[in-house]
Order: sequence, then structure tokens, then C-alpha cells
Amino acid sequence: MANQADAAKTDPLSGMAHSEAHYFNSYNHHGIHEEMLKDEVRTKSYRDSIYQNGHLFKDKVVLDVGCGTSILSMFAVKAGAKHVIGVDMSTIIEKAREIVAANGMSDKITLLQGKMEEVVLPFDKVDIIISEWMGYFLLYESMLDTVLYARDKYLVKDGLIFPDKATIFMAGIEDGEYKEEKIGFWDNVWGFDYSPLKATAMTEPLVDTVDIKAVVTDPSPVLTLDLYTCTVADLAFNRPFNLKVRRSDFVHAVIAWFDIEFAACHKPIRFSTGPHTKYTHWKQTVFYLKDVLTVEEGESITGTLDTRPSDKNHRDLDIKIDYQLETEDMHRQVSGKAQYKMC
Amino acid sequence: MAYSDSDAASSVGSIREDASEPDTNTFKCLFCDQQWIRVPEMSTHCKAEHSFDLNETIKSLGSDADELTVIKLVNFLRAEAQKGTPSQTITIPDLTGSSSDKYLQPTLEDDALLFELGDLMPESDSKAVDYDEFEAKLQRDIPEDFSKIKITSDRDEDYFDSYKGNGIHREMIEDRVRTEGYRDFIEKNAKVFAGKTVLDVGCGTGILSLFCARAGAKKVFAVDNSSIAVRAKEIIAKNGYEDRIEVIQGRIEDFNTQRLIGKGKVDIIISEWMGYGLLFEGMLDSVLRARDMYLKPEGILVPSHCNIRLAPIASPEWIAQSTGEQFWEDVYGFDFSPMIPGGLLNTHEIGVFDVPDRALCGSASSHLLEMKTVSVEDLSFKVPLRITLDRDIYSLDAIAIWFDTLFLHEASSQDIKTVDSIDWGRSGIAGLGFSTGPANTPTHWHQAVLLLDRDVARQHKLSAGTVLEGTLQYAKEKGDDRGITVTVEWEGGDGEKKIKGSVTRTMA
Repeated sequence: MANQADAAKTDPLSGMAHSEAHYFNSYNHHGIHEEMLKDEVRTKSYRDSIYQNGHLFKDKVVLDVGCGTSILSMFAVKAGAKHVIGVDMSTIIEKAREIVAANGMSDKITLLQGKMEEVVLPFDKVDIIISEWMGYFLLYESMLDTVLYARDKYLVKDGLIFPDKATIFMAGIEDGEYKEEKIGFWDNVWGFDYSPLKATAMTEPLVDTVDIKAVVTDPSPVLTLDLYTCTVADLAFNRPFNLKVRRSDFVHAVIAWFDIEFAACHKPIRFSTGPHTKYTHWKQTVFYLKDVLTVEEGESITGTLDTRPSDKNHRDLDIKIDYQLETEDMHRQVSGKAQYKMC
Repeated sequence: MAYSDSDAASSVGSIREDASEPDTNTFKCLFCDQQWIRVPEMSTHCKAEHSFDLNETIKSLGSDADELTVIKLVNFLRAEAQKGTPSQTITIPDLTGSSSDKYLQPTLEDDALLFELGDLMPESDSKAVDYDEFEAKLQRDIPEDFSKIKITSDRDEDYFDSYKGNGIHREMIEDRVRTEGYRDFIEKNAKVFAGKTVLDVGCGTGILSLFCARAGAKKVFAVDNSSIAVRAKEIIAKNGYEDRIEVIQGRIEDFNTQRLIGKGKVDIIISEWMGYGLLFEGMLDSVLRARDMYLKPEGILVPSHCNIRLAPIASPEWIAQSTGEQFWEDVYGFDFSPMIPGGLLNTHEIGVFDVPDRALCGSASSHLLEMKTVSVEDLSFKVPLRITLDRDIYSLDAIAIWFDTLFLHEASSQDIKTVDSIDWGRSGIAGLGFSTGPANTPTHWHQAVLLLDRDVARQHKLSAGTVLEGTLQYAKEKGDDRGITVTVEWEGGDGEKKIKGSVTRTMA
């Protein structure tokens, strides 16, 4: 499934050693910012949704939640905003200040380092919130709760949020070869049986690029978050899915991805992180199933996706997937429950 | 050999029985025969009945007091009590120096108090540890079979935590240069391992222990402080080696580890402890502690030698690419140049890269560490350095640092003195070790890179054959066991033009 070669080309972190990732995969280092800025689907969607809507941004006060290197803040200034406030907890904000100065926007952008809950904004209310808050699987290490806090505290009535809609999708994939490589690897390690690590490997969702050819079912939208109305409680959810089988094949895993919509735009702008479209640094998230499902066209895989922050560590996600193959063929009937943890 | 095999076997056997139920014991008061289950209660009792303030005493040991110091204190106090010294008149000796090491020996057999170090450790703001959170973190995947964990700082927590998931173990196992290097040595030297007692420090998933057992080791102690030890145990059982490989989850200096292994009982210490630039974030301290505690005088260490290597880099193209220069100059129409050099290669930290061999512009002298004799103090060092340029350069852009690992033992045909420390890496011989240099197959260690400030770099317009002499210094960051600051200084030049330069970078 996974198109490794492509991923390596486009993802600067993919070839890195574990400890390197440990060192650099922190928001205080620049590698992650380079990676995010180079993600064209992401950055251009934000740029277009802001630039194409100068009429919405003109003379408005804008809040950029988790501003990072301040690229979105600068887009907003260029689109005509009266003032932009960028807030970020990371020390990257110091670099952001230099960048804003280098682009002559220091009088238009106020950058604040700290927690959203603690910083004091130079305005009581803002007209627009912009934020790139999405994590892997939409919600893993996401900043959505911070955005919702900012919305409730600072956004004027009828204020706008960019983006304002996020939808999680699922699908089933044929992934025999790669599952064998990822999971079966542990069966024979330098001549030794390492199968005890298989169980752990099965509980770790894999963030990777999935080839669209591997997708066996229709995508099924599982959860839509409307950023104007949703609450932090909505980020723990249990939702049904129904994956309609498109071709007779085997299903080794289900995958999840998300779409993002800027519905406030004059002409709505939307991007997807699915397997059917251009690469993004979010890739897709793969959940291997214990069973291999033998599926026929027209049948369905039904079940529920249950996701909530872990009790023990709020930054981790506990994910449960219940699944069942809806078939009249008794010999192929199968159902199961799987538990995963993103940490 | 000073110890016969049967001696080792019998002591190991008895030790294992003792270890079967370490947790359920009550412990004796420090001064009388009263039994206690919880430290705070015993502490209150000591204050009330024996006029001895244990908490204050531990505080008075100072902020450097670690678990070893507290172990020594407990054993010292118990020894004094046995002698009949009244509790009020006891004066605490210096427990930090090596002269106090005799107190590492438990005064009481199976002293369960020594398992309660968590409750005894002094609290200090800078080393605050949330035990609950730590345990929860480590236990969340693996609730069962969890032995004691001791921690001294948040830093350690991060370190062991980052070694927990599957991905990184797979990556390390898949590093063929590394794993085949160890395997080839073990398999080609099975005679060295046959019938021996081996200690694997930081065993991870247990792969090196398994190689040793397969080569005929009689007994392997596989020690790791990470929860991966639980998986190692399962893997070892799955492969039928549970009678010969004993997995110990804990630190090398833990009382429990000491009790299970026994002092001076080990013939061979094997460990894959190397970090970037050899010593960044490495585990050599633990290996040296293990050597001093457990290795027989005639025992061997695998690896036996490590050679820190250094070479100059002159390649503006490679630097531009690695610092992301081109990228930052125009980001969606904005000037992001404050981020230069702010990619992965920057001017305050040590970067980690696969340096292309062609980017190097010369060779340099190296610094050899012999594992048998090196001390923890030797790991902060300043050594002379001599760089010879092998081509004309227009700037000296960076310094690359890597290491060679050597597996030598008494019967090795290769003598360390004749190993060509400069070219050895290229011609590496199977079973003799491996190099992590730019000329070799890339490993997960890559190379450490110190980027020079641009104005310094550009002062170095030098011709081939130029010799630069100076020093290489490794200095440990204060209060951070695994962080390191590296300084390279040099001067020299061709003819009239004398040049002088230096670079200091850290890996936090």
C-alpha cells in the first residue's frame, strides 16, 4: 500500500532516526515548521481562503491561534486585516517576530508567547479566528480545544473561523504485503521469534501514505465538527461507520483521514488529507485488524469508531474500533473489536 | 581464571530463589526490631523513639545525593545500630566518595527497606518527579510484570520513555551495520562466549543477549530500565532461552540488580550504548558502572574500544541544502530568512546528518577510548587535534564527528595499535567492529555536524595539504547527564596566511 518512495521524497522527517525525530520533532525546532510550510496543500488552502476573501478580512481584527512562524498572520495582513494577534506557546515566536519585522509588518501583527488561557490580548474581541490546529488523525495532539477556548472568550457574535468545518472519514484497505512487512517482521528477527512485539505493533496506529489502489471500500464520513458550535466534549465520541465494499478483495486494515473546509469563504475552499488526493504531511492513519476480511462487492463493513483522550495522559488518544462484515455467507462472517492508542 | 564456573552457577541459582518475592516483605526499623511496611511511619517512629530525624539526615546529604548515597546511608545506619552506637550520637560520614562504597553492601540480608528508595529520596525542586505519572506512563501499555523503577530526573523519564515504542526498536534492529557488527563478532568468536557469564547493559528487546546465548554463553543477565524489558522477557521465553537469559528491569546500580547479578561475577559485558558522536545521549556511564561493579578482573567488554573521529566539511552546496537556505528566502512570497540557518543544521546545536563523503575536505586525528580502562571523568576531555586538508577549499563550513566501534579480545589477531584509525572504517573487517563514518553504509547514528558561523567559515580559503592544529573538547552539560557541549579549536595555515578558528555547539 504505502508508497514509501514518494513519502520519503516529500516528507523530510521520514528518513530520520528515532532520536532525531525525538530531537527535532518538537515545535521549538525548525524542521517541523519547514515541513508544515512545505506542505503545499495545507499552506495554499489557507492562503487562498484568506487572499480570496479580502472583503471579509478588510479592517478586521484577527486572532491566529498557534501561529508558529506567523505565515497565516502575514496572509491575513496582506488580505487587509486591521490587526493580527498571533499566539503560540513555543519559542518559535521569537523567530516569528524577526520574520514579521523582515516583512515590514511589525505594526500590524502582535505576537504573544504563552498559553491562550493566560495571555492578555490587546483587543477584547476579535472578528476572525484563523488557526491550523489539526493533528494526525485530526485530533492527535491537536490544538482544537485551544481554538474553542479562544472562540468562546474572544470571538465576536457572528465572527468567522478559518477553517470552520472538519470531517473524519474511514475506509477499508487491502494491505497484505505491507501488513506482513510491518507486523510480520517480528516473526523472524535475525533468526529469533520476536512475536511478543506483534501485539504492541497492532495497537499502534500507523501514520503513513496509502495508495488509493489499496482502498477497497467507499469512504464513510464518521464525524463532522462544526467549529462554530462544537464543544470540547464533542472531541470524545462514539460514531457508527458503514463501509460499502466496491470490489471483491481482502481487507486487512481500516484507515482514517480528514477533510477541512473554509465555508466562510465567498467560494468555499476545501482540502482533503485522504488517499485519493495530493500528499499532505498528515498522511493517513492505518488501523490494522486482527482478522483478514474476505469481502465481496456490494457487502458492507459496519461498526463504530470510539475515540477519546486517554485518562492517564490527556495528550494521548484511546481509539476503539468495533467491526463486522455484513455478509450472507456464513463462512465469511466475522466481527471483532480492536483497541489502539496514539501516543 | 579466579572464579570457577561452578561457583558462578551456584551463586546465581541461590540468588534467583531469593528474588522470587521481593515486594511483600516488611522491613526492620533502623535502630530497633520493630517491623514496618511504610517508610513515612518508620520515619516518624525513628524521630519519636530514637530521636533520629531520617528526613533531615537525608536532606543534609546535599542535593547531589542519589539513590546510591541513600543506599549507603541505610547500610551505614544499620551497621552502626548493630555495633550498638546510640542513634543520637551517630555522625554521618561522607557517603559520596568511593571510600564509602563498602556501604553499598547490604548490612541486613534481604533488607526490604532498600526497595523503598522512592520514599526515601530527598525532594528537590529541580529534580521533582511525579511518580504516579511516571509509572502510569510506563505501565499504560504493559500493566503486568512490572518491577521497581527508580528515577532521578525528568530527563531520564524522557529518555526511557522515548525508547518504549516498537518503532525505534525495529529501527535499531534493522540497522544492519550495527546488528550484524555485533552478531558477526559474537558468532565468529563463539569460543569467547562459550560457558561464560554475560551482562547485556541496556538490553532493549534482548537481541544481543540472544546472540550471546546462541553462541553458547552459560548465563546472560539482560538489564534494561525501560518497560521494553517486559517484552524482552517474552521474546526470550518464546525462543527457549529463559533458562539462560535472565531479564532484569531496573538500573544497573539498583540494589535489586546487584543482588541478582552479584559483584565481580561477570566474564563479558556487552552493550550497545553508543550515542550520536559516540557520547551524546549515550549510556556509557551505566556501562562503566556495570564494569566496576560486576566484571571480573580478567573480563572483557564488547565493544572493547571506540574511536571518536572528526573531519572538516567544505561544501557550500550541501550546507545550503541542509540549512534550508533556498527554501526560507521565499516562502509564499514572504521573507523567512530569520530561519536561516534554522533548518535542522543550525549554529547553536549539533545536527545529525548523513554527510556525503565528498563533502569532507580532509582527515583528522582521532581520539581512542579503551573501555577496560576509561573512567567517567575521561568522558569530559580536551585532546589535541591535527587536521590535514586533502583539497583546496574556499570555506571551512562545518566539522563532522563520528565513531568507529572495535571488538577486540585477548585472542584477537588484530592489535589495537595497528588498526589504521583513519582508513579502518573503509576497510572494516567483519567481526572486528564497524564504523559510522560518511564513507560507510549509513547507520542510525548518522554523523554529528557542527556548523561554523558563516564569517568564520569564509575566512578559511586554504590549499590542499594545509595542516590545522588544535583541540577537540567534549564537556558534559551541568545537571544534564546526557547533554554535551563540543568545542573544536584550530589554528595553522599555509605560508604567510595564519588562520585561527573555533566552533562550540551543544546537543541538549
